[in-house]
Amino acid sequence: MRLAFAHFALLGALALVTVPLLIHLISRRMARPVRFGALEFVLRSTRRRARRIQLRQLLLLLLRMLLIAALALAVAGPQLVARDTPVAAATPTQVAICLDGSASMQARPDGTSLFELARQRIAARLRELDPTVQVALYLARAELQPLVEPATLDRGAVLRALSAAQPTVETSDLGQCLARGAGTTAGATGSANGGRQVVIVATDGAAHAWSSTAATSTASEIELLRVPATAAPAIDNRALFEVDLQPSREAAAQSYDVAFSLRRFGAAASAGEQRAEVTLRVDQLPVSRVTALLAPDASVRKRFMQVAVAQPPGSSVTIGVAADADSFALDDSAAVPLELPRSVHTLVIDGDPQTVRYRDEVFYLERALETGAPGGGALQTKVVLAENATAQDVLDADVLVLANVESVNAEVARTIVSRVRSGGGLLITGGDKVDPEFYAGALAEVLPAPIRGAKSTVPLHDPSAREELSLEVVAADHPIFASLGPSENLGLARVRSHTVLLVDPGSRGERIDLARFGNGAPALIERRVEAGRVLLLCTSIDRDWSDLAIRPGFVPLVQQTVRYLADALSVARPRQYLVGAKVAIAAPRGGRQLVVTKPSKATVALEIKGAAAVEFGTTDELGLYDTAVDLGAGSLRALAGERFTVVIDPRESDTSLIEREALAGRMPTGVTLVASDRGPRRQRPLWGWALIALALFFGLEAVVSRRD
Amino acid sequence: MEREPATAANAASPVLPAATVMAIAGLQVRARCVAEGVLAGLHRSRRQGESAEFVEHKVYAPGDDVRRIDWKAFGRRDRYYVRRYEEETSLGAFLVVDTSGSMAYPEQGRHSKYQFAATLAASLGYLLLRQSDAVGLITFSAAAQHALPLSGRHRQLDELTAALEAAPIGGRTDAQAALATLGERVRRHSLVVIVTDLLGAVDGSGGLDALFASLAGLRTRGADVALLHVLDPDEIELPFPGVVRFFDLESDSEIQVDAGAIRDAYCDEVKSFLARVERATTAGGMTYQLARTDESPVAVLTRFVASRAHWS
Repeated sequence: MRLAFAHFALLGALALVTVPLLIHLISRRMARPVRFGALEFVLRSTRRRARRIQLRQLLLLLLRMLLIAALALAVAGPQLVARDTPVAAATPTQVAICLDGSASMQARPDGTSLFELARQRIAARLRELDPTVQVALYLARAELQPLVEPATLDRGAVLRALSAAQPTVETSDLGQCLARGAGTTAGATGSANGGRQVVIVATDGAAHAWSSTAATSTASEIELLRVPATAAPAIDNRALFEVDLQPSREAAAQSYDVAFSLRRFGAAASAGEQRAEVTLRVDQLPVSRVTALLAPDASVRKRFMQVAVAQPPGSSVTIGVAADADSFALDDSAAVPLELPRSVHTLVIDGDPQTVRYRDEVFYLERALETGAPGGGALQTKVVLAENATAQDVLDADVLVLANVESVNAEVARTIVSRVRSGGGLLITGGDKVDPEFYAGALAEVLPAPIRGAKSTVPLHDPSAREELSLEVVAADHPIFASLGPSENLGLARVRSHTVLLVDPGSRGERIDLARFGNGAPALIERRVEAGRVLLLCTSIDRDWSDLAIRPGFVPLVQQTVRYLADALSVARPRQYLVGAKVAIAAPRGGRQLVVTKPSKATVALEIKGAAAVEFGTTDELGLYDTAVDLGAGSLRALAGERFTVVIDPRESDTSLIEREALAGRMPTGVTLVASDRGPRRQRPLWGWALIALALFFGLEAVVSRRD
Repeated sequence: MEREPATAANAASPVLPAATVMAIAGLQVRARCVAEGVLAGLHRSRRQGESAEFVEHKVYAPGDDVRRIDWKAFGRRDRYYVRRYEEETSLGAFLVVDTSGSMAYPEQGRHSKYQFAATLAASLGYLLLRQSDAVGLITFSAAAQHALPLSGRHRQLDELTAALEAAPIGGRTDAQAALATLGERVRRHSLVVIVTDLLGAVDGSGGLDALFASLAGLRTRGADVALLHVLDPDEIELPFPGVVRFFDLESDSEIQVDAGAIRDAYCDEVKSFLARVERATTAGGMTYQLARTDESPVAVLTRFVASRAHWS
């Protein structure tokens, strides 16, 4: 047992014990002077009673000092605490204190955050340490952050750093404490003096925080200060994660399916099922709610179906999913940015019109573009013949499709080039009408690859003996293919072509092959021309050269291709990243710098310097990050498609405690784990005794002062 | 003429309060006032008869009346001799007044012990002169000693009061020297009234015993010795509150004490001292009278005179 105080600072009132002493000394100095004749009698009386008087005065002085001391002790809250501390005062000891700053420390099982409780435990532990013990302080987060280093005897500095420490939303690796913390104290104090080195870790005891341990350590002991209490069970935590957003396929435009997962951690097996209400919000407005029942340590995947978003096409909304709050709020909600697709005007120039509709070059293409697109965003299509196409038609369109077009007039061709440069999209599809010379001349500036001509696998002598070329997607993560479902991709894999356009193998700058034929020839080539995008499909868009038009993936492929070319994809994958992740943000051409606005409204400016994408690494806050591009002269343009959210690492939601045996097994050789499973500290308050002593001293003082 | 003996009732008769009496300016006036107050409580004494029967010659000593020098004896022996007669006067009274530093207490506020003692001495002188007794005065301290010869003249009161008023207060008490001087002059039936606080003799070195031995010597020589013991009430009761730093009036000694803490012990010491003095004086056939300065001098003298009925 050792003596501790609930309010240590109030012990400063002990200084008041000097007050009676000062009064005594001052009263002696302020004695009344009297010129007197009978001094001999005074001397005799003093001699006779001198010893008794001095004893009485000394006793009075002592009693008054004790009285004040008892009062000061009573208000400081003395208590006898079971001495569960491994750090002995007898030997000079170096102590490295690690405060777990991970996200899970922000849980509030009893109203006060675990981080705050850990701070209090450390402050109390500091007071228990012998004054000769040198102390270093660290905040355990993704990287161990030194708060007080090297170790010092200045307790005030340690306490100030402790009170200034803030919890993070990151994960932590407490194993680092053993390596770095102990090493630092050894370096600061020198291990040659024989002092023990102890690492004190204040943590919630979650197993996820011990992802690694040091192989060796100069520390001899590691002491765990577990919050909220040493023997407290794991926190029953319900986490919401894996929020996903997909356009509803069976519903009208701008309808989405929002899926999410719920998982329950840390609950005892006997805790029973827990009912969780989850609310869906669109721009903070509640629109739907579902209920889930969660057994201990179980997870469920739920879905809000066909959530209609009423905002106009092209606008940015935020889809929020929030479960009713529990003691750990950071994993109870998530927000997903959604950019509603805008309407796309497509001008289809038909290079091979036919009187029989289904034989028309653009029959299948037109049907595909008329189909209701999942996720919304109207596709408006205008079909013109090559000889009827005008420059104005080109200027009015977001995307231009040259379907088996032999050529267009020079003005239209120039307009096409300029329209592409200014951000328009261009899709060139192959066919028997295509004139390589025209493309190599008028459209050379935007052509993804020079066209050499058509190559057929159909033998002239036996058309039935043609070779069927498969189609293989080589850029599966390209936005066009990434948004397709498995069945659509499977359909594309079954496409067979027998005639293809041959292109030069040499690249022309920014050419990207998105798909190839079975013989290795490029099937779909992309090229970016300034702000515009150009795709070359090396087979026909009708059934003349290929069966692409009748494959299941054709309609979504066409729609996504058109949207991609218009930079208006129906829906991107929700951009969600874990805390600490590095996010690549596409940089628009012409921009000077990217400005990222964090959830706390703090802004970070990133220089573009001509790069296509800029990496943003300070994802240290949870929530929605807005992005904008600085075009110069104070002009900021929001980049709706580059918004993203940062969510907590799911490992932080797992409140399962690490077993002592498991932890002890991870300790390096020679390091002893102590006090990890100690019971609650036994405390016996003593203020009552202090008050009794106060009353006793008061009574004695009254008796002695009145007695002559 | 018979006079009625003084009684306690007489002594307790209404008198002027001490403050009133001591506020009277001029020692002689004050003395007359006190004496009249005393006489108001007593019957007048019969004047003693005179005799011119020669008894002996006495070597002249300062203070002796030069008119009594026997010039014939001077012619024969070439030394001054004074003639002494049987019952030359009815009484020769010596007033011995302490002028040591302790008599100056209190130095502020109330009248000092010396003022009180001088009032008593002058009043006694007035009373004695009034009944044609001869009165002499000796003031004493270690610093200075002054003697006024015995005389029954009318102007003796003026000289007596003037000497008392002019006496310097200060120095340590030195009664021995004064009593030695007195011993040379005293004769049978002389009255010696010593007005002192006796504090100088309370030094633990046998001063008090020596003083009483000297007084006993006077008694042996036939003198009638009376002691008027003047003390301030503060010196009897030590009423000071709290811690007090005492400075000795007769030396540079000082001491700081909690007066409340030693009060009882102090009072015991004073009581013991007073009892010892009274016991010694009574045993030596002397008259003892405690004179507290908060009492009226009239009351003190009335008590004193009443206690000495045979003298008056």
